[in-house]
Amino acid sequence: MIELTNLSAHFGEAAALRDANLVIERGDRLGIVGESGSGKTLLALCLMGMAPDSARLTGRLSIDGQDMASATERDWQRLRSRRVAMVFQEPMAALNPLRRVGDTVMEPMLLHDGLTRRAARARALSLFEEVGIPDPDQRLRQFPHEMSGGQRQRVLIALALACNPMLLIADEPTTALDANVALRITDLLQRLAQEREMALIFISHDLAAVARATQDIVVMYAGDMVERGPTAEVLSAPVHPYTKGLLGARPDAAVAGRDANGKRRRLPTIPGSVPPLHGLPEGCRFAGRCPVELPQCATQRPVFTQTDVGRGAACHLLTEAHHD
Amino acid sequence: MTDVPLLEVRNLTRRYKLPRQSLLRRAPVLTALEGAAFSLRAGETLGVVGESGSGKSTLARLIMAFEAPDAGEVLFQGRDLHGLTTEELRKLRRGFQMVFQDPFGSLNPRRRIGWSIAEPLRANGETENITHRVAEALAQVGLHPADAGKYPHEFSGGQRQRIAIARAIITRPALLVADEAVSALDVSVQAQILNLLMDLQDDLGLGMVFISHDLAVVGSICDRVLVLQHGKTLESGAAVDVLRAPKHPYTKTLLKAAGVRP
Amino acid sequence: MRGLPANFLLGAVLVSVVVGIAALSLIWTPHDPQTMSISTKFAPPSMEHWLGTDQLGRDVVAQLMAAARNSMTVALVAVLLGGSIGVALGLLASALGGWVEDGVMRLADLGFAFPALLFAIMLAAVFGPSLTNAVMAISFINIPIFARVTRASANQIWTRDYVAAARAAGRGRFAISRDHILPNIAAAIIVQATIEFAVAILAEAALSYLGLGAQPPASSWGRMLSEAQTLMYFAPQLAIYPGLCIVTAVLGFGLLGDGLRDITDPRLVRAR
Repeated sequence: MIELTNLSAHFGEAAALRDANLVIERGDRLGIVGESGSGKTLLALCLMGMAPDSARLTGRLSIDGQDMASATERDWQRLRSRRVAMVFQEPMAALNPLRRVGDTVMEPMLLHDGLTRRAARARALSLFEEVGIPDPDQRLRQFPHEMSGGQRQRVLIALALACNPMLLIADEPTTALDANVALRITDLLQRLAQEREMALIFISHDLAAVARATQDIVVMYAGDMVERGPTAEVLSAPVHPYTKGLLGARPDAAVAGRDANGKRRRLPTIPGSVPPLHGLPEGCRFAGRCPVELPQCATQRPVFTQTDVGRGAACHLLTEAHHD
Repeated sequence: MTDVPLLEVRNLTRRYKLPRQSLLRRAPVLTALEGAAFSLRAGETLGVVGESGSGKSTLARLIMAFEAPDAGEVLFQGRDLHGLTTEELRKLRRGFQMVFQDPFGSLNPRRRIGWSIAEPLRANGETENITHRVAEALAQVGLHPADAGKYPHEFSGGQRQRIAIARAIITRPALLVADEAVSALDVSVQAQILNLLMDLQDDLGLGMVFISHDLAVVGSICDRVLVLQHGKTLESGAAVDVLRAPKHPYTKTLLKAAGVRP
Repeated sequence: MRGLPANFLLGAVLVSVVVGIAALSLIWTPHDPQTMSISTKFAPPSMEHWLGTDQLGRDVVAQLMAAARNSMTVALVAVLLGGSIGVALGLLASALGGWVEDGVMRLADLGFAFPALLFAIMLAAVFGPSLTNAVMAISFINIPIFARVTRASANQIWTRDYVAAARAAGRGRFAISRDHILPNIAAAIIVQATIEFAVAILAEAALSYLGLGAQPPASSWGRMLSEAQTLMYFAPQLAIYPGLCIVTAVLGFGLLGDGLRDITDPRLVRAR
């Protein structure tokens, strides 16, 4: 299906994405989590052939066996929407405010699949029903500003599904939405992936949403994939110090309240902040912020070590353990 | 020790007139906030939880006296903020300050951060020792005094929030209103800023009103919680109680969305 | 230089040429623009007179240069004067809001509705035609333009959090307008001023063409055009030269303003 082998993206000398490895099959539901500068959005854009022009890509990306290294913009256009589709973060910004949503959704069908207007409208209608938009017939004729944030997000999802892609990438789909709407959108994406046997990549910094929607998860830090595995496992028993730090830093409502001295519990934090792209350390990129400091952390880049099928992390601790 | 609460809000209501839909009918009225009430003591933290349209931003603006309520009172140290003259209010403002949500919008991009941090001092005519006090504030928030000469764009989101906090505490206020102060930050940075707020509260004896849409965040630092929806208070009480045994189904949804298992 | 948009660069070049020539005319022209020499009227271009002479034997180049100086002066004063008043009104309207804002905007609407030409003619009828009156008229039409742009930009800045923080600090509206609003709308105002400069040049030419601007013997492109009108059949070049000057100046400032807008537009900046 889709295979990434050591995909890297360089801006000048700096590597914003390093050696990303991924295999995506139909029905996979993968979460990609990371903070600012982790490279998760860049990775998604690479999968759509929409990485910025100034990014120099190395490594291998193949979609359905076709090596995309020499792909032209036209090749990508044939794939976009039909094989790979993306739902962006800001529902209002991604929809043309001057077009009715039905027209927006029908456009790729008319363009790529060569359907007649009537057939396209029928498909658009069924898509609206599938994504849970009430009164779909009426809604097709509405403009984006006449809909709520949640409905607009559903329209974007319908648009992404218009040509039956095999992979749907959702980039921070719930960030701009209210809590209960976000929950429903998350559940919708999961349901769609299952019903359509479609692959789903769910990119988010919202660990709760990712936990609900995905089977596997990849944790990214400063352009590196630092840990991966089944979602439930990684979130409950993380191996990489960054993942541990990230999960530990989540506000824990379960320990609300003050202790006997009237003090509140301080949240465990990862000291410092993500260094800028040109100021990343040699060796392991998390060095300097990590509670563990082996001598090789500062100089050697850790290799991704598999601890189990589909489970592993890039950390010298693991390589040490494996040697013992 | 006085028994006048630091901040007392009674029956606070605010309505907005919406644009007319038709010439013949009256303009519709939106009740952004209705009957909000609570009291806060020094050193306490009150969380206000709600989503867009809940009225939490309106509540923040009313507490900060940026707007006047249509009904109810806001009493700061026993004084009704909306019954004061402009001059009296201005003098009182050094006692309550605000931290905003957007780290990129809360600092004037054309001014050095030292200038922005010192603004509350200049507004009150406290011009002696400004450099020293700015350096002190920067140190308190974990930044370097030499940073005072830099511009906002030279800092990350988390650092800008620290700068905003430095500005908010420089007049040694008694009350801090944090309006979604950590919502735009990464999780790890969020934790650092929350810790900072708690430390400052303990050091300076601040009372804090902490507004957020994230119940998990609110639960981790607040003593009491108010849950708002469509302007109405659905639930209020001790944070521990509201989070462990929420009464209202909306509160339960918020908990679920925050990933907290009730 | 590479990153700058083409319209900016082209505009800058044209403007530099025009302004440079206008400035030069303060200290040197090939001949005195007002010296007449009927015997050498309608002379073709030569080493003596680079573009020849007009119907009264005056050197064309010298006239064009002096006219450039007048044109630039009028535009500068008019834009500065009208702009300052307009910006002040706009800031006032934005800071005070309510009926003050409504009142200022309605006055601006009135100002827009009033054609500059009509105003200039009125002034001329009452006070007699002169360069000063042309400046007054053009200043007048600039006031509502700047008031509107200022108010719109200022209103956006008032909603920013750092302004709310300044209010929370206890700063008054005047201090906020000066320290926060003005610096952050400066870019928009400068862009507008550059474009209005182009408009002012055109307006001055039009007024002078009608005889309501620079009075003889002072030089003006507009008046040169008007004088050349009757001579179209045997000396068309006397209309072409001032026409070209007007086009160059207006185009230059227009492109410059356009380029400045492209450079300072925050959305475009982010895309780069």
